[in-house]
Amino acid sequence: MSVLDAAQPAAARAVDVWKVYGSGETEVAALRGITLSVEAGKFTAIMGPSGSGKSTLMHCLAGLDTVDRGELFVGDTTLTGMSDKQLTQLRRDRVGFIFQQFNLLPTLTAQENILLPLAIAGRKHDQEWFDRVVDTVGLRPRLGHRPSELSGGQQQRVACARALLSRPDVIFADEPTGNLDSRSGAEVLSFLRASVREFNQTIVMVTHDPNAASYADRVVFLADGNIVSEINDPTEDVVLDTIKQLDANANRVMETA
Amino acid sequence: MLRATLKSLLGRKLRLALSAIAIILAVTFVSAALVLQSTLNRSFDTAFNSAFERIQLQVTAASPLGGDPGTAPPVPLDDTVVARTSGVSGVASARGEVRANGARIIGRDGRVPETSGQRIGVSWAEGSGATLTEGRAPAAPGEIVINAGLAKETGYRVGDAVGVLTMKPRQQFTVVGIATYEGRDDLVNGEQTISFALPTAQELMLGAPGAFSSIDVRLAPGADTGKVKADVRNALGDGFLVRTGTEVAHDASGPARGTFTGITYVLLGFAGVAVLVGVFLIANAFSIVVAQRTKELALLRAIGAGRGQVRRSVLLEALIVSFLSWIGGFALGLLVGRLAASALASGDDGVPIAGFQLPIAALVVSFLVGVGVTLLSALLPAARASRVAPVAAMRLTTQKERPSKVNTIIGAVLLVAGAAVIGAGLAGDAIAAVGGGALLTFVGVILVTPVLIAPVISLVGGLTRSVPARLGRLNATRHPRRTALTAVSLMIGVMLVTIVSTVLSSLQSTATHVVDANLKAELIVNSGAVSAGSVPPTINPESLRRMRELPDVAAVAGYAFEPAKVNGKDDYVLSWDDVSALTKIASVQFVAGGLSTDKVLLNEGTAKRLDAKTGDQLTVQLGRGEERTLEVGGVFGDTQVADGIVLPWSFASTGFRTDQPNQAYVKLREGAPLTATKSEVVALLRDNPEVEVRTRSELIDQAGSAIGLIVAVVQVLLAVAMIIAILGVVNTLVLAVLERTNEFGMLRAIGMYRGDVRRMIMVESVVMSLFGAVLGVVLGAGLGLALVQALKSQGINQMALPWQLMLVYVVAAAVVGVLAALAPAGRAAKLNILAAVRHA
Ligand SMILES: Nc1ncnc2c1ncn2[C@@H]1O[C@H](COP(=O)(O)OP(=O)(O)O)[C@@H](O)[C@H]1O
Ligand SMILES: [Mg+2]
Repeated sequence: MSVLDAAQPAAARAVDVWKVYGSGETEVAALRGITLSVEAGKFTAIMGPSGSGKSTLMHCLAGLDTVDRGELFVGDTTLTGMSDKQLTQLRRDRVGFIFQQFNLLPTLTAQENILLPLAIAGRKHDQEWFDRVVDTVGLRPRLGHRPSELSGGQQQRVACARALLSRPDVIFADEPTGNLDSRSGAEVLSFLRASVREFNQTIVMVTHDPNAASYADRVVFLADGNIVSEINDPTEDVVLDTIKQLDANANRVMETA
Repeated sequence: MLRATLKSLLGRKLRLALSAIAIILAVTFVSAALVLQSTLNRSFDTAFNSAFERIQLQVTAASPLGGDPGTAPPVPLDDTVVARTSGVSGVASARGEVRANGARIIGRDGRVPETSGQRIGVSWAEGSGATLTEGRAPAAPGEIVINAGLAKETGYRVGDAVGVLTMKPRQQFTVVGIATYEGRDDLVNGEQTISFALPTAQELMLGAPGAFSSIDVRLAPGADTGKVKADVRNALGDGFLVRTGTEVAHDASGPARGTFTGITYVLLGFAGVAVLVGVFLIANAFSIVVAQRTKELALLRAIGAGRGQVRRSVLLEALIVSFLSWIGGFALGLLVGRLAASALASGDDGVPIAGFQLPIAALVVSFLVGVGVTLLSALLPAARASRVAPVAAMRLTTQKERPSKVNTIIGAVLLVAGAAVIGAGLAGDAIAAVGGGALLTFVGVILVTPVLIAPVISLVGGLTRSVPARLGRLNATRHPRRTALTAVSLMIGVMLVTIVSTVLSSLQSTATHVVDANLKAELIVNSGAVSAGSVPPTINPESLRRMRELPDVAAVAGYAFEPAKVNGKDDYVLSWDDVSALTKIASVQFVAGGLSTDKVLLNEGTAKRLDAKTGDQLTVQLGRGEERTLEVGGVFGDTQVADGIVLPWSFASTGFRTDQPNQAYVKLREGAPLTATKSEVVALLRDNPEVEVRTRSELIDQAGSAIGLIVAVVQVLLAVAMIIAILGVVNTLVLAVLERTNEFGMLRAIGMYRGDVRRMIMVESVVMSLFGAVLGVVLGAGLGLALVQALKSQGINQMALPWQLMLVYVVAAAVVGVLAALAPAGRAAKLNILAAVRHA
């Protein structure tokens, strides 16, 4: 690791990361030497065709999966060689996670779900911060409800609030709006952007939706386990154009092959 | 449809294996019990038949008390009966003989050797089937011949001087010969046989010189057994039994078989519990199977399968599983039953085990238990499966499960009705009503259990502070019906043992209370448990006489107890050799009349039962002698140590089996040293090896140890029930782990340790098990106390809850919870996080 790398304010980093599933005939290289630096306090979107390795990359960065080669960092901490226990502790204290679905425990109220990671860690929550987060996601009147009494959008907002509450170094969201209608999706995305702007929270989000990507500060495009393009301060149109461009390139490669 | 059923069968091996184990256990117990019983019965019949093969016809006097001719004490016959019998045409010879239970040899160790057979004293006669292997026949009064088995057991040889207890106190004899019977080593079932010369046998075994216990009838060549039997009966008139060898054999084998009937009952009890618990396990297993198959079943419905087809598909699954389990269980039962039979029968040398025979009863009953019960248990889940709507295939999540309102209401009604019936039964002294009420209450509790789960489990909320514990507790309330079925299967076992333990602990508390309050004697002379087929112990009156002369002894009361007919009804009577000592050894206080040596005394309870008061006449028929009419001379307050129909000793000593008491109570003088006096009393009883001297606290311990044995058997029963219940808990947990896979993934992703996941499932399991156990303990204690109350007229008048045992049962349930959770919790903790999150 060079002095230059360390000087950059990165919340999470992947350095020449390889991830191979299976072996022999069925071998699939999901990540092929990816290097990515997630800037702190920024909203990063990851896009790419299905199977391009987006989820794999994010899971590895979040300490949910291990890599075959390369190095991963959350802040300055290297994930390489960590035990299951250490990884769990890292996820608990320094990483937040929002899945596409099944984010909440049906037996707990919204408030209990939000507080769950802190409760698991046995940490006390900061009431002021809790109030601010809850008000930002607009869940105040729903705190006592159970997930079955909440809409899909409300459930995802609870999940966002939960991820935010422990002020992790970085929040990973894997297609958080994938199961939502466009209005609920917009609410969740606005909230994610707000938490980056107002709370200086670092967020990495995987999405298929160019509109969702437009909420981010930076979009990274993946194809076949590698970064193929990247734009800053995206708009929906620019993202769409980039995707078209990449598709065309891919087709050309296919045709020449 | 068959193909689809088979496929889905194989797809859920674990769950089916668990149901199969429950079915196999129940079937094994049932068939083992029945096979054991039929094998032993056939073995005993065969053995006794060959032992009594030689008998053509036997004449005995009918016992005036009726009852089983195999156990009733012999009634003496005189010469004239022998003469009348030999006069019947077709009779070649009629020979009077003596053959009676109660000849007890004293071994080299000073004790009477154990046997589960009888200890028979007979008159020696040539041609009676006995063959001398050593020595010679007994001729003089002091000579005996013993059977080879007894010689082997005691180590006595020809020429040895031995002591023998009979109707008379211990006497010395010389062994002059050793005999075998009909080419066998011994008589059946470890029987101990002592042969005396005829006059000696008449005096010692019958107490009647010149009398016989039976007549051995030989038929003239070509005579018809049936006809001669009828003729002899006609010639002798009423009051005599004329039996063929087979009939005698059958009657004689009764008591021997009785020894083992208890074991069969215990096994059948285990089978009953296994079935009862199994029903819930199986019902739960199939509900779970249906819940898991909802999508698949809906899909089948969507592509056109009818309701009936879906229902049949579930029942077919139940049929296949239960049929295979039945075959396995039955085979195992056959094996266990036969092994147990040979172990039991050979333990008491002399009963060769009967050959194999397909036990039809076991086959049918175990089939009904295995296949029938399983199909019945699967009916409800099958009906539910057929109601699965085709659109359910499209629904993402399973619907939230709520306790059924109808069931809850029915359950509550049954519960109230059950309690009311128990109350009414107790008030009206109707035990059957109490039992019926208990059954209603039990069913009611099962039905209301689902609604109890959430509130009861939230009560323990305070104990589950840590997050995994709290989540586990909450998870236990997620599927109230499933949790209820699981908990109930555990509840049943705990409830049953708590009922029994409550009754036994009340019994013991009553014993303690009675001894403390109403027994004044400091020393009690009695035996331990009396083994089946043997006669009660005897105490030499001379020993008691000398005891009375001890300076530290204030009073001694010898006691004897026998069945009798009182006012024409079967009853029990007792008698004291010195009735004047009665008020000294027990808190006997007369409410009417007073002590008397020639009248009957009654305690108040018995007087009420017989509807008799002082001055009334009672007719009493004892085992021997004529019926007599006696006046009631006094009625005393209930004591529970001396209660009953107290006859004058002068009457009892002539009509009882012997004129020796079988127990004695010793009252010491004020300030007498207990230990030293006990030693003196023990020394005086040296010639009475069947009895021991106990202090009051030892008497209480003796009652306790008898109870302890029953408690031990009952606890094995609990263990059986718990093993089956564990399967149910495992079953439920495995499903929970499957259903909540993505939750575990999420929890691990947001920072839950593996250990915490494991703990979470442990807590869920323990909470579920504890719920069942607490329910069982509470219900068991309630029903147990109701039963104690109902048994009040039987003398259990102290209610006591077995707190320690109840605690042990609850702790055992918690252990069950932990054990059951081991595998499912391990599985959940090892889940791959990403796979779990993606799991749909
Ligand atoms: N557990 C796994 N086993 C085998 N192959 C996998 C596994 N997870 C992902 N892959 C493969 O790795 C590649 C990348 O997957 P993923 O990261 O999920 O892509 P994306 O999220 O971009 O759709 C795909 O080809 C996928 O099939
Ligand atoms: Mg993906």
